[in-house]
Amino acid sequence: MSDLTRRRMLGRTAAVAAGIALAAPAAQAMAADAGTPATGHEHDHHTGGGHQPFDEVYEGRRIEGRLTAGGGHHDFGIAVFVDGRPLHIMPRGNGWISVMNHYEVFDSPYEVTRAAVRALRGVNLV
Amino acid sequence: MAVRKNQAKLSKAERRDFVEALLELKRRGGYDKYVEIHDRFVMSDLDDRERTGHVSPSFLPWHRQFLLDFERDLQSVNPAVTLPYWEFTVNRSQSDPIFAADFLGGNGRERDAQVMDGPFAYSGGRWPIYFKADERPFLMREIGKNKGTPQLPTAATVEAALAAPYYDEAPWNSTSKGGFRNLVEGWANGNTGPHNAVHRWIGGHMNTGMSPNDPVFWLLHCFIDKLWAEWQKRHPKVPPYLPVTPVKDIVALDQPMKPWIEQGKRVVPADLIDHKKFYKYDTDA
Repeated sequence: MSDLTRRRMLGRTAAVAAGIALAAPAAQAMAADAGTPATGHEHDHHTGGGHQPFDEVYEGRRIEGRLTAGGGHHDFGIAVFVDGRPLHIMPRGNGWISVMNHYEVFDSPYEVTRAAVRALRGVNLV
Repeated sequence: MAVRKNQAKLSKAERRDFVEALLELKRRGGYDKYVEIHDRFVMSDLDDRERTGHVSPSFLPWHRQFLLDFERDLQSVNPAVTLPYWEFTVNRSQSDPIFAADFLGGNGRERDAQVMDGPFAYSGGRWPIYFKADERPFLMREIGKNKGTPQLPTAATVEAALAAPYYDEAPWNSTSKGGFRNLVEGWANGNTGPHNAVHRWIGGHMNTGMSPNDPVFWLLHCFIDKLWAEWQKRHPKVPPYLPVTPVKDIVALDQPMKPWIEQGKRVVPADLIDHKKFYKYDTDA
């Protein structure tokens, strides 16, 4: 049971990561062509102004926000990463939460990613 | 009829039996499915899509059934065990006996948030963490370290939820303003309500989607469940659950909830309104 559940967990994470890796470059190209960032249809209230992509080092960790096509299942127009590992984020009310900070709302994907870095204490997402 | 008791009033033997039942359920491989189910719903419950476990009216009946299932599994280990509740408005200190080494154990250490004492400390070898968002294989807590939530919710915050004159309201999500459900779940009033605040105050796993990794999850939710019963008692003339008729993406009074319907078991909010069909609280008449 324990090994099975762990494999399932890791498998799901890997699938999410692969999906994002394939989708992100295309979405970025699209966004560049259109001159405006792609936004998720159902979450326009979060993405109306367009997400700001980001790529910087915060507390020693590389944090990235890559624009995505938006509108798909659990595609909110941006995918975020800590040292290349995907961090699951989602809109909540007028802000954002993540799997690391699920009961705490932040203003933007950028802020929720920085909060995850603080919670991670130097370890990697899985 | 099983009686759920205030954790502060458990005897030494009752504290031990509860802890031992948790450890044995974990050893048998029966614990982690609850972490998995909770995480799955946390990931899919969105303000403007289908939502069942959180940010929706069914938050309370969903967790009531979730706790009932878990309590029955604990009772398969020891039939005398019931879920205790944590009255966090009263037992609100980090040095409270709830966090003693003979019960839930204490705070995580500074370096990596690892819980170092009590039955769930990693060094004891009986509480490995399987469903996790990061690499750490041990139980994590960061009690009192959340800058926005330095203290547990007060009795006044809980009273504000209990005073709500109706159960829930449109848009039936985290932005619903005045109903009991969103006040007690906590998203209302700038995310200051009790349930969310306790998750943040404990921190570590409790602030993640895998919060049931921390056994304190059950004691928190048992008290939230008790508050729903208290709210009903205080407002006997209003509907104990809303909406009564179907609304898109929402579980109405007589509609089946996931995950149970996926397992062929029809569980609807109407079945779960009266807790006394299943158990009593030690404060019930």
